[in-house]
Amino acid sequence: MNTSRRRVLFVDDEPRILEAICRMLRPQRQELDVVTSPGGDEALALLAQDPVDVVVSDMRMPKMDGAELLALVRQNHPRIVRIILSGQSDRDTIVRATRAAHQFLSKPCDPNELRTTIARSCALRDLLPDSAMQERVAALEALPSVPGALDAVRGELAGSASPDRLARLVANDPGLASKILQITSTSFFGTPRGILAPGEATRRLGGDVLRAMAAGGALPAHGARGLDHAAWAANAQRTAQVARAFAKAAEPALADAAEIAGLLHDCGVLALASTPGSTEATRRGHDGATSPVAAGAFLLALWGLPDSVVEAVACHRHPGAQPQRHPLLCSLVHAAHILAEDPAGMLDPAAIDPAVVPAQLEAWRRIAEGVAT
Amino acid sequence: MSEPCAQRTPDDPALLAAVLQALGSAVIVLDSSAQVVLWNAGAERLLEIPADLALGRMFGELPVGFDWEPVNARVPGLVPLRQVRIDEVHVTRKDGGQTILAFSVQPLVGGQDGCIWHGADVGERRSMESQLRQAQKMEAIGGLAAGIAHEINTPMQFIGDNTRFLSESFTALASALAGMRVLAERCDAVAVEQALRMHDLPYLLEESPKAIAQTLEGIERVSRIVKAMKEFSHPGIDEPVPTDLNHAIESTLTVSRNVWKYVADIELHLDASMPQVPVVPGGFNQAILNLVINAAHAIEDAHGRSNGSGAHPIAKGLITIRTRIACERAVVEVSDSGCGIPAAIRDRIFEPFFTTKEPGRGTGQGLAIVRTEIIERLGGRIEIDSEMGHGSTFRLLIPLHPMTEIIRRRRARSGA
Repeated sequence: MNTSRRRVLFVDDEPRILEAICRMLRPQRQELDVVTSPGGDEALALLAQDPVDVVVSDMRMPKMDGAELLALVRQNHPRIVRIILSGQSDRDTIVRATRAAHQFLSKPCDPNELRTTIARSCALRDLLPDSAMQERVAALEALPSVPGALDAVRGELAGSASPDRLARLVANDPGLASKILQITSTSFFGTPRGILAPGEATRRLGGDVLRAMAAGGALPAHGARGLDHAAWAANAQRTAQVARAFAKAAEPALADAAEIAGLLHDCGVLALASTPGSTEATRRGHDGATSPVAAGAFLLALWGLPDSVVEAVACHRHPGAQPQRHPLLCSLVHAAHILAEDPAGMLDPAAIDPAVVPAQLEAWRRIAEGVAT
Repeated sequence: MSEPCAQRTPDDPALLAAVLQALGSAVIVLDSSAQVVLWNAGAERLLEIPADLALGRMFGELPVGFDWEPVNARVPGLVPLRQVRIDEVHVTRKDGGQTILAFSVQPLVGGQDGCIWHGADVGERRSMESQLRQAQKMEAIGGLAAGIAHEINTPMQFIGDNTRFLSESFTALASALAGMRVLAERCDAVAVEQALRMHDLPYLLEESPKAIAQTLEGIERVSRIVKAMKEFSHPGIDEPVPTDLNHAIESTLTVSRNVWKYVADIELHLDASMPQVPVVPGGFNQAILNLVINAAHAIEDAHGRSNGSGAHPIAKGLITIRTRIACERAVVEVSDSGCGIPAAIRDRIFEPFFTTKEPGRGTGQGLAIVRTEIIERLGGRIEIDSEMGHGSTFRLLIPLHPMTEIIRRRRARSGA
C-alpha cells in the first residue's frame, strides 16, 4: 500500500494555513503523505533529504519567494510537480510565478479544487512511465514558438495591440497557445475557467497582461532543435482546423476541445526537440522506451489542461492502448491526425468510437478534402 | 503729445479698447460705489448682459446668474482694498446651463477709484480636474482593494480549510457516536442516554451541521465579495478590452449592494448569449455604478428616504437592468421606478456639475462620467426614456466593433 502513497510538500509562511491544509487533507491520508515547510530554505533542505511528488508554494514569503523557490526546485528536482497557491494579484509577481510553476491556484482555494489538483498531479506519472523523460519534460518552461511568432506578438503589442490580431497570432502557434491555456486553466488571472480556445483566452487576458508576460520573458521564444519547426506547426494548424470542422459536424460543443487537441496533438515531438540531449530517435519514438505521444500528454496534464484534451492527445496514435473516457473527442482527433495529411488515409478502427457510423466517416473524409484544398 | 497721427503705442486708447474687446475673459471696471463703468465683450458673453444695460448700474443689482454667497463673503461691498481671488463662482446661464467662473479683483490706484474684475470661464477645466480626481481616486481604491483582497484571502484560506475539516470530522463523530449508542443499549442504556442528554447531545447533533453549513456559505459569500471588489476596480487596464458585461454588472451590484438594498429590489434580465464587448472595465463599472446610484436616489425621491433601521418601513422600488444585442451594439438598460426626470432638464443632466441633489448627495459628475466613458471612450450612445412619477430608463448603446482606428488615433494624439 505504502509504495503507491504520494508525498506533497506545502510551503507557506503562515503556519495556520499549513495546519488547516493538513487537517483538510486528512481524509486522503491513505494515498497522500502531507509535509510542510515555513519557508523556501527549509523546503529545499527537506527536499534534499526526501523527495516529494508535488510542491505547493505560497508566492509572497520573507527571504525567498515562491517563484524563486520553484525555480530552484525546477533546477534541482525537475520531476516534482510545481504549483503556486497565492492570494497575490500584483501583475509582475504573477508573471514571475507563471515561469516557475506548472499550475496556479488562487487563495482562497476551494478545498475540493485543491484536492482534485493534488490528486491529478499525483496521477500524472502514469501517463509517462519513463522517469528520465518525465524529468526533461517537467523542466520545460514552455514549448518554443515558431520562429517569428513572438516577434509578431511583440510588434502587435507595441503598435495598435488589436485584440483580434493578438488572438489570431496566439491561436496559430502551438507554443504560445499552450502557454496561454496553461495560465488561464485556473482562475489565477481572474479569467473564467474552462476556456479552451486560445484566441478567446488571449482576449480575456488582455494586452496589458500579455505585455507584462512578454517583458518578463514568460512568452516562449523559438528554440526547437533538429526539427523543421515551421513545417511541423503547419501540420499542427491543419490538424486543428480539420478536427474543429469534424467536431462541428459531429458535436459542436466539442469544437474548441477538438481544435486545441488537434493543434497540440503532436506537441510531445516539439517538447522533446526543445529539451537538451534529445536524439532524433527519442523524438520520433523509435527507441522503443519512450513515446513522444506520451510525453505530450504528460506535459499538457502537467499544465492543467482538461482530462479530455489530455486523453485525446494521448490516444491519437495508439488509441487502443488506453481506456477512453472521451471516445468521441479521441475519434475526432485521431481522424483529424490521419485525414489532415491524407483525406484517403487509413483510420484505425479501434480508435473510432463505435457510435460514429461509416457514413459519418465518409463525411469527415470530404470535410478533410475541403480543408486541404 | 500733440502728434497729428495716432501712434500704435501701448498708451493709445483705441488700441487698449480693441484689446479689451478682443479678450475672451470678462473685464469689468467698477467705481468706488460699485457702479459699472466698463463692461467688455467677454463680460457680455460670460454674464449674458449687454454692455449698454450694465453700464451705469450697480454691479450687485445686475441680473447675473451668480451664486452671490461666495462673492459677498470674499469681497463685501464688491470693491476691495487689496487684490482678491474668487476661485469658484457658480453661474446659472439663461438657458439653465451651469458653469464656473474664476475672478481676480484688483483695486485701482488707492482703492478710492474703484476696481477691476477679471473673470474667466473655468467650468470645463474644473470638470476635467474633477473627473481626473475621480479617476485617481478609483485607481487608488483599486490598488487598495487588491491589497485588502490579498489580506482577506489568507485568513479565508485557512478558515475555509478548517471549516471543511470540522464539517467532515463532525460527520465522522456523529456516526461513531451512533455506533456507540447501539453498543450502549446492551449495557445500561438509560444511564448512557441520560449522560448524553446532560451534555445536550441531541441539540448539538441537530444544530452543529447547520452552523457549519452556514459558516461555509458565509465564507463563500465573503470570497465572492472580495472577488467582485477586485473585479470592480480593475486597476491597470486603461484601454477597451473584450469584457463580459453581464459579469461586470453583477460584480458592480455586489460591491454596491449597500447603496440600493434598503431602497430597491434589483431585477436582472441579462442576455446569457452576449458576446464579449470591448469596454474599459473600470470605466464601464463606474458608469453602471453611477446609473445604479442615480436610480436608487430617484426611487428615494419618489418613495421617501428610509433610515435603514427598518423602524419606518418604506415600500421598496425596483431597479431593472437588461442587456441584449441589437444592430451590432450591446444594449445595457438601467431602469428605475423613481421620480422621473423633468423634461425641462433632460438635455442638461450630462453637463458637468449639473445636479438636482443637495450637497453631499451628489457632485454633479456622475452622468458626466457616464458620458465620458460611453460616448467619448467607446464611441457609444446614451438614450433616456423618462416619465414623471413613473421612472426613468438609461439605455447605453455600445458598439461591438468600435472603430479601433479612431480610438487609436485619439489615443496617439492625446498620449504622445
